[in-house]
Amino acid sequence: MTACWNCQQPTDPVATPRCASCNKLQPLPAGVSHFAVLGLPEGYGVDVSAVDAAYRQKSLQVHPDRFARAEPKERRIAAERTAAVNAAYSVLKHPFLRAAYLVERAGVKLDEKPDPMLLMELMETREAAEESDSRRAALVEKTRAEKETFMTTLSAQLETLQREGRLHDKAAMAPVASTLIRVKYLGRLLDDLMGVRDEALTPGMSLAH
Amino acid sequence: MARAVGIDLGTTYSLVAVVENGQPRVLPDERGETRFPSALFCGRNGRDSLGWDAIRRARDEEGDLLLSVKRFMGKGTSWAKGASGLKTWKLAEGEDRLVRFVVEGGRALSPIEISAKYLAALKQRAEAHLKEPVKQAVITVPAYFDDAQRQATKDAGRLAGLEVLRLLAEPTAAAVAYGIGKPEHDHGRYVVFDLGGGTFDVSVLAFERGVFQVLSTSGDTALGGDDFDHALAEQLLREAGIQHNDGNVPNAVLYQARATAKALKEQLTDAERVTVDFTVPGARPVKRELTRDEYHALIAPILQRCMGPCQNALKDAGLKASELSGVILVGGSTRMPAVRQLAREVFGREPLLDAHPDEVVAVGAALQADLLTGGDRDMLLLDVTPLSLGLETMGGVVEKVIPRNTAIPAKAMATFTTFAENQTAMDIHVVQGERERVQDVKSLARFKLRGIPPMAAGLGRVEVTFALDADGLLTVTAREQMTGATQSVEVKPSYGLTDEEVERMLMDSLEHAEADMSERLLIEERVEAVRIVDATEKALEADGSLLDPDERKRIDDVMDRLRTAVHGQDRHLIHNLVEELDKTTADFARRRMSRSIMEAMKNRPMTDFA
Repeated sequence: MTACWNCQQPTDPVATPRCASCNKLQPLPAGVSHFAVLGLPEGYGVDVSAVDAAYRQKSLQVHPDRFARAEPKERRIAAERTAAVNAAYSVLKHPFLRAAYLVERAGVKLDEKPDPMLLMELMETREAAEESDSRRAALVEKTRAEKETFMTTLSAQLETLQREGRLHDKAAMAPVASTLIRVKYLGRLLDDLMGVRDEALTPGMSLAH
Repeated sequence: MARAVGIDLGTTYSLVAVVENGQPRVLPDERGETRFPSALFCGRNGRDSLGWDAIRRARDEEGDLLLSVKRFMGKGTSWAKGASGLKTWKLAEGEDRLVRFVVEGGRALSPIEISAKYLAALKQRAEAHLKEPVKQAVITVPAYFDDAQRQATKDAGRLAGLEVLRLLAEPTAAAVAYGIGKPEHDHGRYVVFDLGGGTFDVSVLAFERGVFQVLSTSGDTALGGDDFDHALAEQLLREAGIQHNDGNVPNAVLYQARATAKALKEQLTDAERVTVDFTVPGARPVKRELTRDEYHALIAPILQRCMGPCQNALKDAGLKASELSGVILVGGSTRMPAVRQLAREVFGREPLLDAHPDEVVAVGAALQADLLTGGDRDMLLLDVTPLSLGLETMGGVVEKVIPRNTAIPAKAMATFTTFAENQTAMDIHVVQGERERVQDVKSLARFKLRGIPPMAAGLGRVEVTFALDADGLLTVTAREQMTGATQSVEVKPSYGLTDEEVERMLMDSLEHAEADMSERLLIEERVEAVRIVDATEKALEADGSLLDPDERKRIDDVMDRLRTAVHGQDRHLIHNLVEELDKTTADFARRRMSRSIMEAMKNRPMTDFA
């Protein structure tokens, strides 16, 4: 419980954004998890439509447009809280980013280099794709399937750990991290093969100066 | 409480709407026309005209007609030099940061100042309608506008004397206008396909009982009906044997080509074939038939550019076309059969049509303005940033800090370490766009963070925070983590006006506004004086016999003084003489009235009085 900035009454700003006594919007305390921001239970297996619904419900509570005529301080709080809601939503709605977030919360670092064997494999696939269009099309399909397989593995790993209550267990989460890195690199390879990365902004716009 | 208006600041037309008694209404001019051409004409006589007057004068007079300036908002001169289409304008020399057009009288006007004139005209229209001052507005921008283009629009609003409550994405505004109060459309996922005069946007939205959530947006801020007109105009000029790129063709000829092309395009919306008549003195006359198929072939390469953004928007929303509940067409250009056909093909369904594709954006803006000024409305718009925002890192590589299609307002951080021994300052270059190399994205601003305590390379850590507000405008702050305090930063926007320039222009325009206002009042007094002198002359001619010579002399005397005063500059004198004439002729007017009643009775049959 923290004291309301306006009337000093005790408040629970995570669960109830507005002060129960004076109705003023309360700032979000530091370090609140994305799950808590959206009012969702912490875990991997979240229903996408539940994330969408939570996002809309929280937005209705804290969006700056709901405070258009409020004093500047309350409007500032609304913008900050909405930014937190938006950040939580952008992470939790994507299975991959949600998984990465859980891994990070367990204290596992993600920015380590993948093993050289994987990098070698990816490079060979890229080179093979240069041979012909039909070869490239086949490799796109193969990479897509492989990425799907690893995503399935990722889900299975996380669901098991969640059942066992070990989502915060750093050692148990380490294998999840290596699956994640695999999915990430396969995703990048897939984009490269399909030529969607580094896409031009729009043909009519010359932005180079 | 004063009302806030919604303004659609369009490439070719602008509109203003307001919510009255809970109902949005697009406000017409005195002729009943809701569209205000986004046009400025600067004539040889030094007088400027806006809107329809500008279009009319450009037909008959020598001068500069500025159209489609929205395309140059937030752009640099080097971009303008490379822009496609007919060059009916001259660029002023100066910094690349800001495009300025040279017009009659040697003045240089930026697109921001010109847009401010349009906004001021629409503000005036709303004030005349509401009979109260209008100080606040929601102004719409293309969803795909970048930070510099949005900032330029906001600055134009400020210069017009408006507090900009929100910059609202055009397709989002249209979606609101379309989806509000229609129970059959209050739930589902919709695509808004918005092709206007100069910009193209495509947004995917989820409607959920009053909550309008943008899932993704894409587009092209240099693609619209103008491009179709330029293509046909260039074709007409070619057929007439006119070399238009050497700069020797009079502007009037280029305006004529453009207007002819636009008219033909509009006729081809309903007709399968039209007759072309493009005759310029001294050139080969172009008289022939143009079929819709031939026209479509001419514009096909331009139209094809709509495809990519549509696919990107669907992909970013994670949807297939078959999962959509509907496709909403917005913008004047969606009246064209070829555009409808393209939308049908891309989304595999019959698009939904609104009766007023030109007006829905202004209506949506008015609804949002009403909401933001306390209107009782159960509605919430959740929008996204169209383009990724990032920083230049070592080797000219862009590091994205906020990816495209992130919901706004948003906040994100990136940390950088010093790379040199005892490095005390760090250059921060803020960019926007999807490409990975810094030369391929748009530069937004440069900063220098000073005051980093000297230490070994790699130890100094600078945390850069990006904050995007609900207008999609970015604020960047940098903090050195060792010392903790936010360091002083110098921000230099890459495009557009600095805050000081906006302030200065605002002061200038206030002085001018006063001058303009007294000029207008003088004109009004003159018009009134001429009207009353004319009326009195006619009355004297008809009923002068009712006056004795003394009375007649008094009236003639005031009339003479008023006739002289009308040619002068003193509006108070004119006003006083008008009142004096009114008083002097009061008795005469009464006598005329009773005479006419007597006449009327005399001429009627007696039975009427029975």
